[in-house]
Amino acid sequence: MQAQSLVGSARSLNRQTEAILDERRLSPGTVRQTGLAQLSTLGTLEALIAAGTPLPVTHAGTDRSDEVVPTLLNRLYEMGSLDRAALDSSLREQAVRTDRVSAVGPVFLIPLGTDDATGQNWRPVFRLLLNRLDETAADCERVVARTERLSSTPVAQRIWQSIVATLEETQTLLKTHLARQERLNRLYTRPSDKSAKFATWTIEQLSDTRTEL
Amino acid sequence: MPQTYTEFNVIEQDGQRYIVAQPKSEHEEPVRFSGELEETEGLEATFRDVIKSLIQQDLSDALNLEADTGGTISRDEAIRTLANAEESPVSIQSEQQAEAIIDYFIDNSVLNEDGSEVVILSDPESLADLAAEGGDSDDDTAMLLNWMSAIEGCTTKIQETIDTVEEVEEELRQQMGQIDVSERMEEYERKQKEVAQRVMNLTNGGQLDKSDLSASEQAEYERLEHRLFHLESMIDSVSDTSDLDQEIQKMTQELSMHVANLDDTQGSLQVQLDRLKKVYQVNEHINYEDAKEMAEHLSNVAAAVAGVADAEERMGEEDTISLASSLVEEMSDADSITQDAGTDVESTGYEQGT
Repeated sequence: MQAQSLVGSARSLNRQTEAILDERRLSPGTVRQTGLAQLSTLGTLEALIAAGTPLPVTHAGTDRSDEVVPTLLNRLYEMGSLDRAALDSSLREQAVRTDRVSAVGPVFLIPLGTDDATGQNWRPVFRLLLNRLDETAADCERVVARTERLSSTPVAQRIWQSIVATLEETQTLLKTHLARQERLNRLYTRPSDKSAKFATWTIEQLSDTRTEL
Repeated sequence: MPQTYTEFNVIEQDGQRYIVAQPKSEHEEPVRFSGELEETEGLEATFRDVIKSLIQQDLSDALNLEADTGGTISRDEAIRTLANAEESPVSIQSEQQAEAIIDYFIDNSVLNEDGSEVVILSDPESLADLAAEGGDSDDDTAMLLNWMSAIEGCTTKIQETIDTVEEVEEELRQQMGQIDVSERMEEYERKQKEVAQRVMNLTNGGQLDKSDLSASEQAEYERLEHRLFHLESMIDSVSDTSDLDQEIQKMTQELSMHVANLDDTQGSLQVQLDRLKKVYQVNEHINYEDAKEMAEHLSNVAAAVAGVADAEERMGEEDTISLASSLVEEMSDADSITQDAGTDVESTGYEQGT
C-alpha cells in the first residue's frame, strides 16, 4: 500500500466538507449527495486501515525522529501528490536520502510495508489521519449545524451526523492501532539487559570471593 | 599499548588548578586537564565520578567481563567513551585530554594496564586479600573503589531501566485504559442493532425494496447501509485483535516480573556495596560467622538473578520479534481484504463490492 491511498481519502473528506461550507446557500440535495459520498469514502478509508493493521512491529534502533516523512505527508495532504518539481530542493534531497521514500517517475511515493524502512511509515500516516480527521469532524459539525436551517430534510442532517460519528469511531480505531503498536514496540525493544547481566556477574564474582574467605 | 603521557605536574593558572600531562614522545603536545582529578583516593574524590561514568557508558558495549579476571576495556574505547560522554564530571574536550586522564589514572594505579586493554575492575580475589590483610596495598584499595563505583554505576543503570519501564507502563495503561475492548464491542453491537432496526422499519420489515422508497428514504437507506457496514468492520477489528491484546497483556506481566527481578538485583548490589564500603572505611576483618551468613545470602541472590538471565534468554530479541511478526501475520491473514494501491479511493466504497 502507499501513503497516497490513506492520505488521499482524508484529503478528499476534508475538501468535500469545505466545499459544502463554502456554499453560500445549501441545497438539501447537494448536502445529501455529498454526505453519502463522504460515507462512502469513509468506508474505503476503513477498508484500507483494516488491510494495513495490526501495524507492523518496527525494530529497535530505527530512527523514529526522522522528520522527512511527516513533512512529506503534510505536503501530500495539502497538495494531493508529491510532485518532485514542486518541492523545495532541501526537502527533495532529504527525501532522496531516506530509504523510506521512493522516487517513481515525477513523484515521490511513501510506501507502507512491513520491512524495517517502510514499516516505519505507517505511524506518521496514522498520526496525520488522526489530526486531519479531527479537523474534518469539526467542520462536519458545522455542516450539521447549518443543516438545521434547511427546512425540508432531516435526512441530510442525519447523514452528516453519521459522518461525524463515523469519523470519531475511525479516530478511536486509529488510536487503538497506534497504542497497540506502541505497546508491542516497547515490549519487543525492551531496554538493554546489560546492566542486569553486569549485576549478575558482579554478584557472582564477589560471592565467590566471599565463600573463599 | 604503552602510555602516551608519562609525566604529570600540578600547576595553577588564573586561580585554577590543572594537571599538565607531558607526552613521552617529542612529537606530541602536552595536555592539561582539571586539577579536580589530582586526588585519587577517598570515597568522595571526583576521580570516582569519572570512573563511574566510564563504567556506566561502557556497561552496554565495551566492558569486557570475564569470570575470574575482572573487567577490562580497550584503551581506544575508554578514550572514546570519556571524550564523548554526554555528561562528564570534569571538562573533557578532546581525545588527547581523555587519553591524558587515562594515563594519569594508570600512573596512580586507579586503572591498570594490560597490553592494549585497560583494567578497570581487578580480579575480586585481590579484594579478598584486602579484606583478609586489612588493606595494606594501595593498588588493591584503588581497585576496591572502582568496584564500588561499578556497583553504583550499575545500580544507577538498573534504576534508569526500572524508571523507563514504569514510565512506559504508565503511559500505555493510560492509552489503553480508555480502550476497554469488551465495552467497546458492546457499544458497537448495540449501535449496529439500532441501525439494523431502522433498516427494518424503513423497509417495512424487509418487505420493501430500496427502489420502492422515496428519494429521501433512499438517502436514509444508504446512510444506514454505510453505518451498518462501518460498525461491522469496527466490531471485526476489535475482535480480530483480541488474541493480540491477550499476548500484549501476557508480555506486560512478564515485563513487570522483570522489573521485580531488577529490584531484587538492585537490593543485592546494595548489600555488596555496603560490604565493600565497610571493608574500605573500617578495614575491618570480617569474622567467619559474618562471612558465612553473607555467602549464604549471596548465593540465594545469585540464584534469583540467574532466573532473570534465563527469562531474558527465553525472551531474547530474535524470538520475540519472530513471535510478534507471526502474530501480526496471522492477524493480516485473517483480514482478507486486499487493497490495490492503484484503486481510485476517492470514489469507491468497499461495500459496493460486497
